[in-house]
Amino acid sequence: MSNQKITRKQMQSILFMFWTGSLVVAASNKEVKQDYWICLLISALLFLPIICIYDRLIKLYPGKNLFEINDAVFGKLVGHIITAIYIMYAILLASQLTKIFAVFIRVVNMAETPELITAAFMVLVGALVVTRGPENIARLAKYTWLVIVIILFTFFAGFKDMEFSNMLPVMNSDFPTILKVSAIGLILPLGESVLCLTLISNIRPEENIKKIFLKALVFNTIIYIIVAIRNVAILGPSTNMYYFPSYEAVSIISLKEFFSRFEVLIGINLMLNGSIKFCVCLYASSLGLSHIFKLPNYKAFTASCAILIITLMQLLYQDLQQFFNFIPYGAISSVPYEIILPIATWIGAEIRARMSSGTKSSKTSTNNSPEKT
Amino acid sequence: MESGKLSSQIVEESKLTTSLTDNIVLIRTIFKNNDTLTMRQLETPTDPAIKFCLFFSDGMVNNRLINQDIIRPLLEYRPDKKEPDLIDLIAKNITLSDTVEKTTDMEKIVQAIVYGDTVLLADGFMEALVLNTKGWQSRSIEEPENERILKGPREGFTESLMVNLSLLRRRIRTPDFKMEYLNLGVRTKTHACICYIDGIAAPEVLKELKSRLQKINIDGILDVNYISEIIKDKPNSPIETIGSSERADVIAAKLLEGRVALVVDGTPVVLTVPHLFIEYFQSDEDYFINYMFASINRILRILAFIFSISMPALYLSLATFHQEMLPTSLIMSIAAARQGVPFPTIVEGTFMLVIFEMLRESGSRMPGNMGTALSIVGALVIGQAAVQAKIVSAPLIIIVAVTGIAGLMVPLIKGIGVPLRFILLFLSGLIGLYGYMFGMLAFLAYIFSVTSFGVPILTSAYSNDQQDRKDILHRTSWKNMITRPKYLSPNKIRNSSKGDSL
Amino acid sequence: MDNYLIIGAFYVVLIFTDLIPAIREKKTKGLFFSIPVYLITLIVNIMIVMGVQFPAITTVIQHAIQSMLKIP
Repeated sequence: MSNQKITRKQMQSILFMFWTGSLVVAASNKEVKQDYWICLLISALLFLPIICIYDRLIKLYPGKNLFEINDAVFGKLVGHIITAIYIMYAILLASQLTKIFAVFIRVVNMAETPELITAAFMVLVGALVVTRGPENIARLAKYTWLVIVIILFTFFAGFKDMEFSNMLPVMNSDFPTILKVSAIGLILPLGESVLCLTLISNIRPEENIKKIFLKALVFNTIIYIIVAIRNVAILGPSTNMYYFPSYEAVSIISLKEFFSRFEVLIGINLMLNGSIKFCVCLYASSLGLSHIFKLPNYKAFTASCAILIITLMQLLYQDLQQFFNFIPYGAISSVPYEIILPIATWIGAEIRARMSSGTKSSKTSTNNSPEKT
Repeated sequence: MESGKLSSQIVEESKLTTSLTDNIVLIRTIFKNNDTLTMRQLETPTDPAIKFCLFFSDGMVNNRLINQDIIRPLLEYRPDKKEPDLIDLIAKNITLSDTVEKTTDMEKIVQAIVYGDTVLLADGFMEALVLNTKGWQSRSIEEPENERILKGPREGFTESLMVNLSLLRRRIRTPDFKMEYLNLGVRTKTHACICYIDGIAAPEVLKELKSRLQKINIDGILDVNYISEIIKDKPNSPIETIGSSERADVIAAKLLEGRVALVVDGTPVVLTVPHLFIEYFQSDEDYFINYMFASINRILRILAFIFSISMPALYLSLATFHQEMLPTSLIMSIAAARQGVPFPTIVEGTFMLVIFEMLRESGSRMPGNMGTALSIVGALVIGQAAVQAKIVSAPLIIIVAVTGIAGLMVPLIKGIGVPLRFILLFLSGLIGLYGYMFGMLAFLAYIFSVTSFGVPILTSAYSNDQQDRKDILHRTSWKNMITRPKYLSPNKIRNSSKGDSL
Repeated sequence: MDNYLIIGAFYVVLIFTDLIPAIREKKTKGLFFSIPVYLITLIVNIMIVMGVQFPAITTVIQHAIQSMLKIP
């Protein structure tokens, strides 16, 4: 009697939490400064065709997750290779996320706590959530997305500290730069949701994927724009002076005398959103491994992926500077996974659909002719 | 005479014969060293060849029933000759008992004697008659001690199965209310009864309960907790997935919502399955008083649970790791209070919480006249003197006291509340507020995944229906509670103004 | 010293909750992957904590992209 499928609102919450997981790092850009909100809008517009691609893939292969679709389109061998690529991508993404979280806590809050322990917490809790089933990620997301209320609260609480003249002049940067940053914004938080397609096989079949993605996208864009405006208004246009501008902006906000310096709540925000994103990545990688090894239960691989993630996390970056310099290169390196592969899969799926409908119609015509004579 | 064998083994191997004397010897062997067995031999006045023998356990029977319903009619029976179907004649025409059963099953006969029935044997017949004469003493119906309410019915269950079933039957008079008997426990052979309302209860839950009960293979069932630990979904989990209550109105309400109840002889506690998480916070008093006040109480209970697990952890993380979040004057006073205290906050916190748990546990076990001594020891010695001796700091005493009191507000949830308090305290001692949030995330993830007989216990996580949320955080008025909780029952309509509620 | 403890606790927790039940239930296919991963990552982690410098992965990717697309 209990419906173990993910509902529409839960999927929206997962997507929303997934995208806002990078809110702390992706909230500003040093090249466009105060026009970042324009880039956010353009990224959202650029993402719309990708939503249509996802929707079409799900409609052609209902009830199947990403890896099964790849197998069906490209055949077993190439499909397995593509699955392996996605697994590596998921593990890399999860370790990047863990590193961001650990670095954040070490830099702004607790300088003497080793990064390893905060990372270990995130990995262990993520592994616990994933081993209990993908529905649990959805249920958690549906409850914890309310943490976004913190962001709205900081926006309204910081009104008296904001100077909206910092937003002027609008369109200060030239259009190619804006386009370039929009492309990065498209890939870095938005395009990573290709991993959410692995969860979609658990959704109830009658749900409309386009609507789910669209609603989550609209909500996400609004929140990102609010955060970008808040940061620029409070800190001024050169928000990239700081490692984490959101943190600095919120630390300036205070309500009367008794409630001030509540920037830890931003950290909590990052932690919750990041955990959901981490769980999705971990689930995707375990599912991919179980798909390759042909085991019915993905839970056997969760712990191994978790250990790989935490080991990789320590090997990823040399130092903090390189961490921030790498972001555009990271975007470029993700293009094959997020843009090229889904488009190739979609084209392959369309070709197969045309071919199979073509053979069906030719079979019926040959059946008719003997009867006529 | 077979010596060296247990009576239960003799019962399995032997059968009744047509000779009355042999049967008498057999039953007396089975009940060897059992002096409560009473035997009464009879003969009809007209024909001494027609012999009877009655067996019953003294103290379990209502002697008046035996005298008037069995012995008197038998002695007034004056046949001309010995009838070939004497046993059937007695069962149908002579005895005045309300329940008569003819049997040759030795097991049944022994059980009947043991449980308060009378067994009638006749010379020349292999069958025995089992006649209902139960009449033992049991406790009167009173309000259960630990489930008191201010306003409402005060009938609690007793240790007798029949009385408990009658309390339920009086409240639910529809013929759809089914009660199925079964026996549990190899040696105790305890009577139990599964109660449910046909058409409302979920058939999968009923089937699952029956199959789990059949798999029980235990020596004796003395209390309902034995059963609940064996048939639980996850026996190692601290969360209760099987509900229990001692109040008749509570069980009747739960039956009406689609749950299945298990009544066991010998204990006043009745089990209900499935058990949702929100039932910890529901009290039947909520339904007997004004719904707005009841909603306030319900929210207060949920808040109390959250406080009782979070407050020590939050105090520790804010005072140690994130001091900038507290207002300046508060931090100054906390720092001043902590001046001179040698231990770090986490050690103090653990120490005081353990002391509080000891006080609570000893308070619940000590005799009433020592209660004042305990409160003096708790308040003066531990609270006041420890602070003055700078062993612990004053703010921590306040935190621990509030935590303890909040924890006592929802007594059923102590099983997970107390360990969780310590775990969250430890986690927040590691990395501050982030540790606390990770702990809460893990706790939430755990609770979301627990199921009780196939129904997830935190069902509000699924339903977007407004109707399903009516009884969780607050209780809406009865006029608005139109449907039953979605996952408990396939039949959703609880009441409708058109009057066709089913 | 702290890092050794953290690595040790992490591995102990994961071994007790995952590896030992898997060995008890004899899931050989999964164990083919898990046990080598556990061993290799344990060695790598201990080496990192002891201070051995590994080349950062992102530097490698950055150099590869720079040489492929010829941008500074």
